[in-house]
Amino acid sequence: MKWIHAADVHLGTSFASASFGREQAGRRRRELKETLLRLIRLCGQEGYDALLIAGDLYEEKFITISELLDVNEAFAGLTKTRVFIAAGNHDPLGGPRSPYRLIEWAPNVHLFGPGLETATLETEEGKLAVHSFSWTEKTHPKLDLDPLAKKLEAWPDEAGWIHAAMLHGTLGEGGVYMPMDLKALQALPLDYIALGHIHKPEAISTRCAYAGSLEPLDFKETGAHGYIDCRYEDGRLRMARVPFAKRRFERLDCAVDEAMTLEGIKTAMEAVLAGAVESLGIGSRDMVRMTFTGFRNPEVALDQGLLKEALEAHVFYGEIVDETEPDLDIEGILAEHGDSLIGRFIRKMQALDQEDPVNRAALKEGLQLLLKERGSL
Amino acid sequence: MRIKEVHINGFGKLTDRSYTFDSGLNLVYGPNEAGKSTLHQFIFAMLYGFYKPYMKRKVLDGAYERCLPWQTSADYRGSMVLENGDGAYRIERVFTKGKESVRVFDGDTGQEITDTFDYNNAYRIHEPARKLIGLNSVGFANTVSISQLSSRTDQELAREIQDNMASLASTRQVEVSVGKVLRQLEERSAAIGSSRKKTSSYAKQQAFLEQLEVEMAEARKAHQEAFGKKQEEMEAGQALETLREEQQLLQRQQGALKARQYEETLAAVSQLQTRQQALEETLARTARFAEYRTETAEGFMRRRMELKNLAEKEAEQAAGVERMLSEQAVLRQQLKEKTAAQDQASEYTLVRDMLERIEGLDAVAREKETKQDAVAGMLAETEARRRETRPGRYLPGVVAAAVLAVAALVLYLLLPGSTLPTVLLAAAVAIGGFSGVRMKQLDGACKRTDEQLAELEAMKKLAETALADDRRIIGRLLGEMGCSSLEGLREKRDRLYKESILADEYRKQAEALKEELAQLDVDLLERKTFLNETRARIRKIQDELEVTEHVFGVTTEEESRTASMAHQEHEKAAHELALSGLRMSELLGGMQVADLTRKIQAAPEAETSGLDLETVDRQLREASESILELTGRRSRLAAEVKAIEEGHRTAGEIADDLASVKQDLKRMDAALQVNGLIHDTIQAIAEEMQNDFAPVVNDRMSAIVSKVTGGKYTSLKVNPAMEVKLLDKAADRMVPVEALSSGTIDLVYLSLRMGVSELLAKGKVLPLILDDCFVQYDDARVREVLDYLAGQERQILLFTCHNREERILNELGIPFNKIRM
Repeated sequence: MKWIHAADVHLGTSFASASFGREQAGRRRRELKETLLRLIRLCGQEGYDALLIAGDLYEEKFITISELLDVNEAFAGLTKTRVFIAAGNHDPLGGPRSPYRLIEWAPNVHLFGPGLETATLETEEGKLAVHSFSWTEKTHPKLDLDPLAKKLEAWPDEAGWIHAAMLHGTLGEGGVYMPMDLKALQALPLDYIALGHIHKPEAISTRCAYAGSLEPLDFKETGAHGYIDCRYEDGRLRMARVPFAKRRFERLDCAVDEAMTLEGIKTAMEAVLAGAVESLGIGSRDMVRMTFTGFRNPEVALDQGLLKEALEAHVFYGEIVDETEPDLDIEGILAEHGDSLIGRFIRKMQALDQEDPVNRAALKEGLQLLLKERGSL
Repeated sequence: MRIKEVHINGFGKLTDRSYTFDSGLNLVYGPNEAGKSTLHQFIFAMLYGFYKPYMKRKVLDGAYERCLPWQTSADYRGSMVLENGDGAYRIERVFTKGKESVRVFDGDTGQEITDTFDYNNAYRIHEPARKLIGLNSVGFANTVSISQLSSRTDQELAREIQDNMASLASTRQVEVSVGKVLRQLEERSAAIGSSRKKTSSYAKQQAFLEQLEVEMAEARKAHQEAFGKKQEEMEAGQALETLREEQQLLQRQQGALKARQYEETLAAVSQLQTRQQALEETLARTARFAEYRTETAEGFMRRRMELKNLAEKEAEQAAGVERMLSEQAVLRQQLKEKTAAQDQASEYTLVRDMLERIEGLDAVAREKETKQDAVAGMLAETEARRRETRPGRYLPGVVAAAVLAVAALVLYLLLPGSTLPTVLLAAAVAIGGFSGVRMKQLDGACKRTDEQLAELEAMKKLAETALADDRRIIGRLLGEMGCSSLEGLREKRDRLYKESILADEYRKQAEALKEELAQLDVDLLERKTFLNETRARIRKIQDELEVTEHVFGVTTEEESRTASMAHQEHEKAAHELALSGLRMSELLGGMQVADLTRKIQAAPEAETSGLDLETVDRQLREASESILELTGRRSRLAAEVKAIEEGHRTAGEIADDLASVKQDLKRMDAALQVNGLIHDTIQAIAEEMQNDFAPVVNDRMSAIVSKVTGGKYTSLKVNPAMEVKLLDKAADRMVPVEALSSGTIDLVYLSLRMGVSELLAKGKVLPLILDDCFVQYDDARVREVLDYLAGQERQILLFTCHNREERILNELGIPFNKIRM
């Protein structure tokens, strides 16, 4: 018996809070669906018995009927694989207009209802019982394990059943996203615990894992993403994380110093990138955010366009974040220009709340402007 | 302060050069690329080095690289002697990176006094210029050095004076043009714009934002609408499911009911089949008479009747003919008799003629006998004489003549009316005559007697023969006439004569008979023709009847009647069979009996009590219509959902755009805020400083302007709006700098720069370095400027590549120190 555990596809999502532009956002939105469809095809090609989707298949606010119809069509094309879907906080199984309820799901798709239920699958390879339920709202209280425990206890004493729980939530105490007691959960006679909600893929134990988001959604979701491959043979479960996402996101830092020219900064960036290609396996399909830090020569402007272009010679998408500071001796300037315009400007600006980014920026930019203008009379 | 001398070890293109300057006007002359700018750069670098100011760490500016000695062996260093009010200073500087150093020596004692000068901790180097000159590098560049004056327009010069004065007035410094900075900030903000300025990027983004918000609201609405429709579609799907189940039940009921109907049909069909079989048998039985129609039967009867009539007619006609034939025979017999009587009349003539002829012959014979008796007497006479001669040698000729004569007679008898017997007779006469003559002639003379005798003998013989012949002919002719004697013939002639008198009557009768016969022949022919026609007609009808007999076996009227009945039976059966065929088709409705049976066998099980097919059919029809309607509705809804979704961008896409626009606006807001803050702060500082220093600056500058313009403009004022204006004393009005003439602007500009440098340098009189300033000036303008400069109590370094300045100085009689590069 073998199955795939995936989660957090977030079909249709907006990338409003992501740093990349609308063009990339549109592309990523398409890629979310492409990768899901590719995963479904894989299930068919490799003859998986089941596909478990542990919540957040789509983004309720943005999903369209046509996207779900495409997905359902792909599900329907599977001959062997059964699909088990539980709704999460982004795709709660709400009222009659809940997108889940607007699709006539293919016969091989089991959508869990709001209450704990068990869907079973019996094949020549074995017998799988999936215990799960769907969220109905955007939040969910702590998971009460009693019903599941009772269900398992009452399960007929019959050999050969593989029990899997599929749960969308957070491990630990507190929060509104269904906190779960990991210890209690692990104490249950479950062969596998398929978790969703946390986008970082993580194996919690040898039989419990977060699949993570199928495709990473932004630069917060770095590293390889994909699904969990589960195989149950001879009473033993083997699970493996399989990178499957089309792209990965990586954040890299490039240190800059005042002696660097723009060319030098570019060279430094390329060195950082080469290191990352070596160590992280970043490839030409990936998306990289390069953050520049340190002091730079005030006369060297960080040409973001040029650096982005240089970065995108190696990766699919490059993002430049400039956190460098111009290498100005403010105290020295103050000493020399104590009572002059420049000196007075610095003092006035420093007197303002420096926590306010506008004030901080005004000091830096005003001073640079004054110093630049100073030479031109 | 003035520059006394410089020594360059290595600096750009200049290697190991020394230049000495006068305290007054120095004309540094050299063609292009001779190194004038390098010398200018060297003086600046000796005072300030190549350092970027205000850096936390030492950073060399780009000039360092540019001024590296061309001659690689030369040291990148030099020295410079300055004279200040309090004495001379010698500065030595090494530019080479990593070996940078500045040392200052007392010009008079040669004692190193480096440590008495400011030390820059960031750059780790002494800065003698600050103390010696009182200006930082920027101040020096902005006041002491003037280059490319000519490339600036009057407008630009005026603007620069304005900025210069404004800054000076407000901040007592010329490092920063406050007006310029403020303008820059305003431009930056203007580039972003505001919601008020519709064409600005800010307003555009804001408009875009509003547009996107509208689009988002619409997309959300459409989303809701699509979901609503999709929900309706799902409901329709469920209703459809229910309806389909109902339809299936109805179909089963319909099937069961129909099966029952089929059974009934099957029974009817089988009954019909039995009847059809009987009919087919009838048809087979009467098949021979299928074509024995009424007209056939009538035809048969008609022919039979006609035949009967014709037979009678034929008999009648035949009898008529027969009768006529008998009549004809009678008439012919009569005619024969009449004709025979006529023959007897002509026999009479024959007999009569023959009698005449025979009587003639008899007469001849009698004559001959007489003659013979005469001859016999002559012969007996002559015989007595002839006892000495012989008679008749020519007897044969006489014989021949006799023969001929006989022949002629015969012929004459046989062919009455012919000329031939006459001819023959003549021949015979001729021959006989000839022969007699000849006998006489021959036997005459010599043997006359003999001959006579002979002749007589011959004559006697001949006459005897001829007589015998005549008697024989007469006898034969008599025989021919059926008589044995002339007398008999005469009796016959007489009898025939009596008969011949009746012959005319007979001939007339025969003529009449002939006519009658001829008429009879015509009639007979006609009758025979009719008879033949009748017979032909009979044969034809018989042939036709034979056909009827052959085809239908009908030979009698009785049989014909039976055949007609059989035909009617056949027709009736065929008609009924055709009808039953239609009925069968009607019953089966395009199906085969096997289909029926199969359908009955395959009939579904269903409770049908109290149901009738009509009701079930109607319900089924209604269900089907509802299903059709719902299916249509479902596809319509699905299409609508698709159309709605395709008609709008997804909310996700719009949200991305919204986020992007909001981000842009936020960035612009921040930039506007930052710019505003900087602007307001600088403006506030400038105003605050202007209050402090403006009066001093105004007084000082007013004095300069008044001096330069020969009292035309008596005062210069910088107002709080940072505008510089001059008071035209005569006109008693404030004039903007731009309003001055070009020449005046030059002088005001130069004098102000000098005034500013003194003001900044706290009273120190600094040199003025003019680097190719007058390239585009005309002679008059250069003359004016040079004249003005000559009157200045300060060191002036005038860099030029033209001879013009030298010429004008000479013309003006101004003393100068010429340095040739």
